[in-house]
Amino acid sequence: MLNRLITACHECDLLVKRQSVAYGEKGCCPRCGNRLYEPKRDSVNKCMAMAISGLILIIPANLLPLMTMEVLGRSEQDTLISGVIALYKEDYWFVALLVLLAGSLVPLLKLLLMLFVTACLKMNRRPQTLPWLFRFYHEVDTWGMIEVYMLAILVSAVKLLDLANIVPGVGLYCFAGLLLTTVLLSINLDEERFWEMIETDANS
Amino acid sequence: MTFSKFGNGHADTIMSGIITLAKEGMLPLSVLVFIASILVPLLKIIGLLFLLLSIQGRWNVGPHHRTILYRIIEFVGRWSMLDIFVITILVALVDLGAIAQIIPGAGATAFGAVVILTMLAARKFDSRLIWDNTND
Repeated sequence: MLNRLITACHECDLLVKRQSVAYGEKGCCPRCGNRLYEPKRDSVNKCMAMAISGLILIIPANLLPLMTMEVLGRSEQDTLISGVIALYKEDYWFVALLVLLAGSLVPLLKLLLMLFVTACLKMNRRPQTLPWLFRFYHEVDTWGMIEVYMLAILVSAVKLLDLANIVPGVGLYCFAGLLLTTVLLSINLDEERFWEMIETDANS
Repeated sequence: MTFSKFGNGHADTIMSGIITLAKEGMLPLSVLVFIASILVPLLKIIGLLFLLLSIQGRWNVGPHHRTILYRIIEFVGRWSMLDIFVITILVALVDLGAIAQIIPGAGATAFGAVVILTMLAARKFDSRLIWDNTND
């Protein structure tokens, strides 16, 4: 009952009286300014849509060439996975593992978790593992670094531009689309609402 | 990493790259690389140390500013992976056998470890501790 009236700020632990906040507004902690809640319209539906489109895009984004380098009549292609393999072959397994995790496995895991959680909420199923899975999503969130990878593609393209001819590949467009869906997903994710839904139906 | 072009290889460290850029008259760019690759990771570690010391020593200096500092440290962490990703792409792309080849160096592993460890450190830090000794 108490947790319906009071929230603890997760950044400074101040207890704050709950207030209803309209769409487009946000409630901030009066002491440290941390955002406490920011309701989003239709959060579950939008997140589910983004998770599905992300899952469709992530396969070609990983496997199709991001860009092709043409120099002296030879051309060399780069996919996300081929970079990892190249590093592994040079015996840099630690760096290869890092790139594999941050560039493709964690984003994939995030999308799968999001799809599962939203599907459960939509179909009114509350399996025991649901809170754990959503918390896991939150934990894993920072380790998916698609936007950093996108910038890295741009940086390396600029670096090679005066040495060779760089042609963007199909994978790059899929990757850009994947980036867009993950950004839209995190914008539309209303964690407060998700937790509320996970909690309420588990009790009743 | 080592970049060999037509068989003449030379190894590049982050610092040597910055010096080359500065020598070629691209001072602003070299400053940018210096900030992004050396200064930011260093400041991140120093910033975290400062936060931890301030809590241990119960210094009552601006919890507001310290919270902002913490948020910056946490936000900036993942962007340091940029260098690692660039190396990955270059290694895969520039593989033309004898003509030109890029081989990663031991620095890459160390740099990756720095990024991961500082990110873990920032995540494990409990921002609530900043506010524990304040009375407002």
